[in-house]
Amino acid sequence: MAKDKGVAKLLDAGIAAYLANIERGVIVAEVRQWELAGKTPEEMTSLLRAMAQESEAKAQKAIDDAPD
Amino acid sequence: MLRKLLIFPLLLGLWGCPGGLNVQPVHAPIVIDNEAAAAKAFRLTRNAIDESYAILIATNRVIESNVSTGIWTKAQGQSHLNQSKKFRKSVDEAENALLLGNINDAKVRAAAIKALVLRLQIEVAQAARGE
Repeated sequence: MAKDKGVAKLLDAGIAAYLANIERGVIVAEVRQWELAGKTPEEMTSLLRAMAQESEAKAQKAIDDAPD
Repeated sequence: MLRKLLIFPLLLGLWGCPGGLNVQPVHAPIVIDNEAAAAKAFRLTRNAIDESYAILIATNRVIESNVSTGIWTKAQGQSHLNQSKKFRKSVDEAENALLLGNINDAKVRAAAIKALVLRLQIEVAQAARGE
Protein backbone atom coordinates (compact mmCIF):
# COMPACT_ATOMS: atom_id res chain seq x y z
CA MET A 1 0.00 0.00 0.00
CA ALA A 2 2.79 2.39 1.01
CA LYS A 3 4.63 1.40 -2.18
CA ASP A 4 1.51 2.13 -4.28
CA LYS A 5 1.28 5.53 -2.63
CA GLY A 6 4.93 6.19 -3.54
CA VAL A 7 4.32 5.26 -7.18
CA ALA A 8 1.23 7.46 -7.27
CA LYS A 9 3.27 10.34 -5.87
CA LEU A 10 5.96 9.82 -8.52
CA LEU A 11 3.30 9.74 -11.24
CA ASP A 12 1.83 12.96 -9.85
CA ALA A 13 5.29 14.51 -9.91
CA GLY A 14 5.80 13.39 -13.51
CA ILE A 15 2.50 14.94 -14.52
CA ALA A 16 3.42 18.15 -12.65
CA ALA A 17 6.74 18.35 -14.52
CA TYR A 18 4.95 17.76 -17.82
CA LEU A 19 2.45 20.47 -16.95
CA ALA A 20 5.35 22.83 -16.15
CA ASN A 21 6.58 22.46 -19.70
CA ILE A 22 3.23 23.09 -21.31
CA GLU A 23 2.39 25.90 -18.85
CA ARG A 24 4.94 28.14 -20.51
CA GLY A 25 3.41 27.42 -23.90
CA VAL A 26 -0.02 28.36 -22.54
CA ILE A 27 1.31 31.73 -21.35
CA VAL A 28 3.02 32.38 -24.69
CA ALA A 29 -0.29 31.62 -26.46
CA GLU A 30 -2.06 34.06 -24.13
CA VAL A 31 0.48 36.77 -24.96
CA ARG A 32 -0.11 36.14 -28.69
CA GLN A 33 -3.83 36.69 -28.08
CA TRP A 34 -3.10 40.06 -26.44
CA GLU A 35 -0.92 40.95 -29.43
CA LEU A 36 -3.78 40.12 -31.81
CA ALA A 37 -6.16 42.15 -29.64
CA GLY A 38 -3.96 45.17 -30.32
CA LYS A 39 -2.24 45.53 -26.94
CA THR A 40 0.96 47.56 -27.04
CA PRO A 41 4.26 45.92 -25.98
CA GLU A 42 4.19 48.10 -22.84
CA GLU A 43 0.69 46.92 -21.95
CA MET A 44 1.69 43.28 -22.51
CA THR A 45 4.72 43.59 -20.22
CA SER A 46 2.52 45.24 -17.61
CA LEU A 47 -0.05 42.40 -17.86
CA LEU A 48 2.71 39.78 -17.54
CA ARG A 49 4.09 41.54 -14.44
CA ALA A 50 0.60 41.57 -12.89
CA MET A 51 0.17 37.85 -13.71
CA ALA A 52 3.56 37.07 -12.13
CA GLN A 53 2.53 38.86 -8.93
CA GLU A 54 -0.85 37.12 -8.92
CA SER A 55 0.73 33.67 -9.39
CA GLU A 56 3.13 34.44 -6.52
CA ALA A 57 0.18 35.29 -4.26
CA LYS A 58 -1.65 32.08 -5.23
CA ALA A 59 1.45 29.94 -4.62
CA GLN A 60 1.97 31.66 -1.26
CA LYS A 61 -1.65 30.95 -0.30
CA ALA A 62 -1.25 27.27 -1.25
CA ILE A 63 1.85 27.09 0.97
CA ASP A 64 0.12 28.86 3.86
CA ASP A 65 -2.94 26.58 3.59
CA ALA A 66 -0.92 23.34 3.34
CA PRO A 67 -0.68 21.20 6.46
CA ASP A 68 2.61 21.36 8.39
CA MET B 1 41.59 96.13 -51.99
CA LEU B 2 41.33 95.61 -48.27
CA ARG B 3 37.60 95.41 -48.62
CA LYS B 4 37.95 92.68 -51.28
CA LEU B 5 40.29 90.75 -49.03
CA LEU B 6 37.75 90.84 -46.23
CA ILE B 7 34.86 89.78 -48.47
CA PHE B 8 36.75 86.83 -50.00
CA PRO B 9 36.94 84.72 -46.83
CA LEU B 10 33.32 85.62 -46.14
CA LEU B 11 32.31 84.29 -49.56
CA LEU B 12 34.44 81.23 -48.98
CA GLY B 13 32.58 80.70 -45.73
CA LEU B 14 29.25 80.94 -47.51
CA TRP B 15 30.40 78.51 -50.17
CA GLY B 16 31.53 76.26 -47.41
CA CYS B 17 27.94 75.88 -46.29
CA PRO B 18 26.80 73.74 -49.20
CA GLY B 19 29.96 71.72 -48.66
CA GLY B 20 28.94 71.28 -45.02
CA LEU B 21 25.50 70.20 -46.05
CA ASN B 22 27.05 67.63 -48.35
CA VAL B 23 28.59 66.00 -45.30
CA GLN B 24 25.18 65.28 -43.80
CA PRO B 25 24.15 62.41 -46.08
CA VAL B 26 27.38 60.68 -45.08
CA HIS B 27 26.48 60.98 -41.38
CA ALA B 28 22.74 60.37 -41.75
CA PRO B 29 22.90 56.58 -42.32
CA ILE B 30 25.13 56.23 -39.25
CA VAL B 31 22.51 58.00 -37.12
CA ILE B 32 19.79 55.75 -38.57
CA ASP B 33 21.95 52.68 -37.90
CA ASN B 34 22.41 53.74 -34.28
CA GLU B 35 18.69 54.32 -33.92
CA ALA B 36 17.98 50.96 -35.50
CA ALA B 37 20.48 49.28 -33.19
CA ALA B 38 18.97 51.01 -30.16
CA ALA B 39 15.45 50.01 -31.25
CA LYS B 40 16.62 46.41 -31.73
CA ALA B 41 18.30 46.36 -28.30
CA PHE B 42 15.13 47.82 -26.76
CA ARG B 43 12.95 45.17 -28.44
CA LEU B 44 15.24 42.28 -27.48
CA THR B 45 15.46 43.51 -23.89
CA ARG B 46 11.67 43.79 -23.66
CA ASN B 47 11.37 40.24 -25.05
CA ALA B 48 13.82 38.96 -22.42
CA ILE B 49 11.79 40.70 -19.70
CA ASP B 50 8.50 39.29 -21.02
CA GLU B 51 9.96 35.78 -21.28
CA SER B 52 11.32 36.03 -17.73
CA TYR B 53 7.87 37.00 -16.42
CA ALA B 54 6.28 34.12 -18.40
CA ILE B 55 8.77 31.59 -16.97
CA LEU B 56 8.17 32.91 -13.44
CA ILE B 57 4.39 32.57 -13.87
CA ALA B 58 4.80 28.95 -15.06
CA THR B 59 7.18 28.22 -12.17
CA ASN B 60 4.82 29.73 -9.59
CA ARG B 61 1.91 27.66 -10.93
CA VAL B 62 3.99 24.48 -10.57
CA ILE B 63 4.97 25.47 -7.02
CA GLU B 64 1.28 26.07 -6.18
CA SER B 65 0.25 22.75 -7.74
CA ASN B 66 3.03 20.72 -6.09
CA VAL B 67 2.30 22.11 -2.65
CA SER B 68 -1.48 21.82 -2.86
CA THR B 69 -1.27 18.19 -4.08
CA GLY B 70 1.14 17.30 -1.27
CA ILE B 71 4.06 16.45 -3.60
CA TRP B 72 6.16 19.05 -1.82
CA THR B 73 6.32 20.07 1.80
CA LYS B 74 5.60 23.66 2.81
CA ALA B 75 9.35 24.22 3.30
CA GLN B 76 10.20 22.97 -0.20
CA GLY B 77 7.51 25.14 -1.77
CA GLN B 78 8.48 28.20 0.27
CA SER B 79 12.15 27.82 -0.64
CA HIS B 80 11.38 27.80 -4.39
CA LEU B 81 8.81 30.59 -4.05
CA ASN B 82 11.27 32.83 -2.19
CA GLN B 83 13.70 32.44 -5.09
CA SER B 84 10.93 33.20 -7.58
CA LYS B 85 9.89 36.37 -5.68
CA LYS B 86 13.50 37.56 -5.51
CA PHE B 87 13.96 37.02 -9.26
CA ARG B 88 10.68 38.77 -10.10
CA LYS B 89 11.93 41.88 -8.28
CA SER B 90 15.08 41.76 -10.40
CA VAL B 91 12.96 41.52 -13.57
CA ASP B 92 10.98 44.56 -12.31
CA GLU B 93 14.27 46.45 -11.91
CA ALA B 94 15.31 45.57 -15.48
CA GLU B 95 11.92 46.79 -16.71
CA ASN B 96 12.26 50.05 -14.77
CA ALA B 97 15.73 50.61 -16.26
CA LEU B 98 14.25 50.07 -19.73
CA LEU B 99 11.40 52.52 -19.08
CA LEU B 100 13.92 55.11 -17.89
CA GLY B 101 15.78 54.70 -21.19
CA ASN B 102 18.85 52.98 -19.71
CA ILE B 103 18.83 50.39 -22.48
CA ASN B 104 22.32 49.00 -21.87
CA ASP B 105 21.72 48.63 -18.13
CA ALA B 106 18.32 47.01 -18.78
CA LYS B 107 19.84 44.70 -21.42
CA VAL B 108 22.53 43.41 -19.05
CA ARG B 109 20.07 43.01 -16.16
CA ALA B 110 17.45 41.27 -18.35
CA ALA B 111 19.98 38.80 -19.82
CA ALA B 112 21.36 37.92 -16.37
CA ILE B 113 17.97 37.47 -14.73
CA LYS B 114 16.58 35.46 -17.65
CA ALA B 115 19.42 32.94 -17.21
CA LEU B 116 18.66 32.69 -13.47
CA VAL B 117 14.93 32.33 -14.04
CA LEU B 118 15.50 29.56 -16.58
CA ARG B 119 17.73 27.76 -14.08
CA LEU B 120 15.04 28.08 -11.41
CA GLN B 121 12.45 26.59 -13.80
CA ILE B 122 14.76 23.62 -14.48
CA GLU B 123 15.37 23.16 -10.75
CA VAL B 124 11.65 23.22 -10.02
CA ALA B 125 10.91 20.75 -12.84
CA GLN B 126 13.67 18.42 -11.60
CA ALA B 127 12.40 18.66 -8.03
CA ALA B 128 8.89 17.89 -9.29
CA ARG B 129 10.26 14.72 -10.92
CA GLY B 130 11.86 13.82 -7.59
CA GLU B 131 15.44 14.10 -8.94
